[in-house]
Amino acid sequence: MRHRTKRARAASTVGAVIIAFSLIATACGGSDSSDSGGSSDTTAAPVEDVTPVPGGTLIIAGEAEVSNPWTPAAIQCDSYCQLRARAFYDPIAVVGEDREVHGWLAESITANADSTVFTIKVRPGISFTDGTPVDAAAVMYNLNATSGGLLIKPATKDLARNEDGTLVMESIDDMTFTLATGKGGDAASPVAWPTFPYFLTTQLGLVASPKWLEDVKAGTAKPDQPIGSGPFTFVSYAPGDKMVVKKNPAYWMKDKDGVQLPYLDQIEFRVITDSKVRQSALESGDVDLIATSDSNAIKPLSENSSFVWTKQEEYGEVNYLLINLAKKGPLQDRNVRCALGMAVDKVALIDATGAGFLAPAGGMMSPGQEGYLEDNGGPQFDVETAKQMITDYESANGDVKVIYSTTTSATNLLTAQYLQTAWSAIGVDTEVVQIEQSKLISNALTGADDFEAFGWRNHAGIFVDQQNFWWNGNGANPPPQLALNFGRLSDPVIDDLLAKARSEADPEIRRGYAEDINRQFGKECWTLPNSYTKWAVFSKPEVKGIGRTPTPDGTSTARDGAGFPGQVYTHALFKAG
Amino acid sequence: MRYALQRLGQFILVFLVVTFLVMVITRIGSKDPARDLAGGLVAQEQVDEVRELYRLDEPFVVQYGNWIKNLVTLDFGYSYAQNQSVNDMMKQRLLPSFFIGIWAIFIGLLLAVPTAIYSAYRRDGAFDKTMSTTSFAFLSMPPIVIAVLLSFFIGVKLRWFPVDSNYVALWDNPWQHFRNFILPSFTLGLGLSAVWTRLLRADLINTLQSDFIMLARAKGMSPRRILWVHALRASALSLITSIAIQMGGLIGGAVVAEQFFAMPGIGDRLVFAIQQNDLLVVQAITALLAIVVVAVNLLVDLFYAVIDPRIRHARAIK
Repeated sequence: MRHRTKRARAASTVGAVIIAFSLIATACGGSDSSDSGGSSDTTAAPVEDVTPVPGGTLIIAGEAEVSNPWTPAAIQCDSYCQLRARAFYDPIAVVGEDREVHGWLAESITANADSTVFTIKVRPGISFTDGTPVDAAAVMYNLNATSGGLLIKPATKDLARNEDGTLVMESIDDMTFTLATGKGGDAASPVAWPTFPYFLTTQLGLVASPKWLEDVKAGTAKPDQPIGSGPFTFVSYAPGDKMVVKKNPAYWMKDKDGVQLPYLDQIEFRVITDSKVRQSALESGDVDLIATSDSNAIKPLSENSSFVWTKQEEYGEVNYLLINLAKKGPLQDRNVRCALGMAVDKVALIDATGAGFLAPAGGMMSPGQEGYLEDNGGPQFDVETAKQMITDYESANGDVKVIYSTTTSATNLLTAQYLQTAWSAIGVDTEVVQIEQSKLISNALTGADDFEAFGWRNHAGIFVDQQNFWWNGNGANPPPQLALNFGRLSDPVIDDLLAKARSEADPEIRRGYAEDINRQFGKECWTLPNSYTKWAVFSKPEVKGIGRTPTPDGTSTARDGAGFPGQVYTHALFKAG
Repeated sequence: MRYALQRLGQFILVFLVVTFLVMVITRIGSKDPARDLAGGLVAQEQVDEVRELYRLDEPFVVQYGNWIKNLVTLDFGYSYAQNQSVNDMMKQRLLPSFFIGIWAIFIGLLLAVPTAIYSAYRRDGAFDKTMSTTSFAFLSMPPIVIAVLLSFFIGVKLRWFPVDSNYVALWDNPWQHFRNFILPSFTLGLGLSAVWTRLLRADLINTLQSDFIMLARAKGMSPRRILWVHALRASALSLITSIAIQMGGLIGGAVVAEQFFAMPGIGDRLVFAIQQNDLLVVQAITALLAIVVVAVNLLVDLFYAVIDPRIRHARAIK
């Protein structure tokens, strides 16, 4: 076995988020770029007021190291991975500030009348940094490779596949090809999928040099030395420490004034896993820009007028209790699940663990997302009723005991202790287990025996279709098979609504389906939402250009955090003064 | 010579026992060592390949034999979780930890030796009492607290040194090396200095009451020479033993310093590897630690005879 070619992908310290984002999450996590902070002093100066200054080095710090092989098929890409990957890879498409899909490497993406076949025309005149051209063959090669990735495959289940597992794609000319849908991969059963182009803005759409990918496969190139066509080229990478990229001098994009992008000469991406240390690194001037979702870091930084606060508070993830519905025991009973939800005062929980900074979650879709409801009808805080429901269950079935697993962070332990106390008040014994994040994800994926109730964070996105493979019953593989439907949820009502939403082009009708899905979650207490995540990017005042990377068609700007809250595009970043 | 060979034999035995136990514990603690080794979220075929490659179906003794065989050729295996050979990981992370340790010891000694000497010389004086209280304070302060204080006051408020430390080689840029290592090294060094101050002070007080010191004084030798040459040398045994013992503890402390100041060292990697069941990395690092700790203790044992003629003489008679 060749190490470099067959390296298995690791769990690494990616968030629960991680896999989530990469696969599905198409467009989400919008950034209100340069939004005003806690005080007016934190407002970013409009970039138009400052002429971009080419050159300079930026130091960016993120929260996790996916320690990737960096091939688009194998990365388990969280937001910080997306931020870095988009520095050296170009995507096929991006989500714009207008929330529409804009071609990036694709000059156009057009669907047939029933949205079952998509024609993708690749932008001419672009090369990878190893000199090979970006053409239809290169993009098709990447789509085939990436859609076969262990974690991507479930998200692309409804793309038609040939007998050998490759996607059903047809080359029209050197720069154009078609891609067909098919129910469960069956080319004979096309699926109307109007929102599919959003998937081309995700990890699926990242395009690497096919020559490099072939060399990696042959063991003659290193998988951690990526080659793409992006604005920067790879210089060095030390897992868990830093990655350095330098300007791609032949990059194909220019800004509206004809100045070549990117502006920066070099970026150093640092990994600082501890959010408080990351905060200190920014405060001490060691780094120029950080992304964080830790409200205990966001709050003090947002009150510090020395930094620019770029909010990313929409389309984000939900913090919730993920339940293994396949595990025999009390949590298979709806009343027990609902009682656990009723025992929790979400506001008090947020005050205790999130510096009172987060918003209580009233459903499984976050603000801005399709299907968002202030209240999905799920359990409300009512200790007495919850206690009675547990007593009723126990009189017929015996004691209720719950194993609650969470990661090793202090905040998560605090949450666990809060839940333990709240559930104890209704007569439920709780065993708290703290395990490393990647093991937590691994346990959920494989449906491990000790996976019963997890503290979880997931489901960023704009459209409900982006949640399809997390919630669809056809992905509820029994343990120990891997299942991205971690909770092994199999609800015919939800499955039916997901199928309808996937094929619905009318946004209003689709919103109705999404809201019904949200309500069904509340009714059955399949999950117990606690709060909505808030992300923030903090930067030194001299860092400009956040949220200003233009789309190649010139009609919009690439939306930061679209699908990966915490991510920003680096093309238009520069340091003023 | 015989003594040295005897100690070398002990060294090898301890190394084998420690590394074998670590291997067994990592295997027992894993539900599926092959999957853990393969990185967790991978297809079954890849897990099977890893199982075959590292012969994980074989008895522990056979697996251990293979590991030792590879170790001899300096092949520590591959971290699939990090997509990096363990050798490369070692190359990347060994020096940062080495320098943190070395500078922490240096800082510890730099603070402890003069303080202890003066405290012993002016026993129960104001300086001695002040230093006694101060060293108690540092002794009771875990490295994480020192790290927070240094980070906040020196790094964030005064901005003298970075809190986000980079590894810069001493030979590449001595000033940047110093800037990046000062806070993590002080985090560990302050605690060490407190221990060593107390230890050395107590030994020095005893030594200063010895006949040979009295004789030196009677002969009119200067107090400085008595203290820094004769008394210090005779009192250094406990200090040197403590330095050797602290080598193991330093790794534990280095985890805190490395994580808090984002220095990419081996302690930080060990914690991560344990959390991920990255078995070969855990084995490789613990093997390295075992070698360092046992080797340092061996050297110290041998060094005793060099600095204290009484020990040399006693061994010779034996």
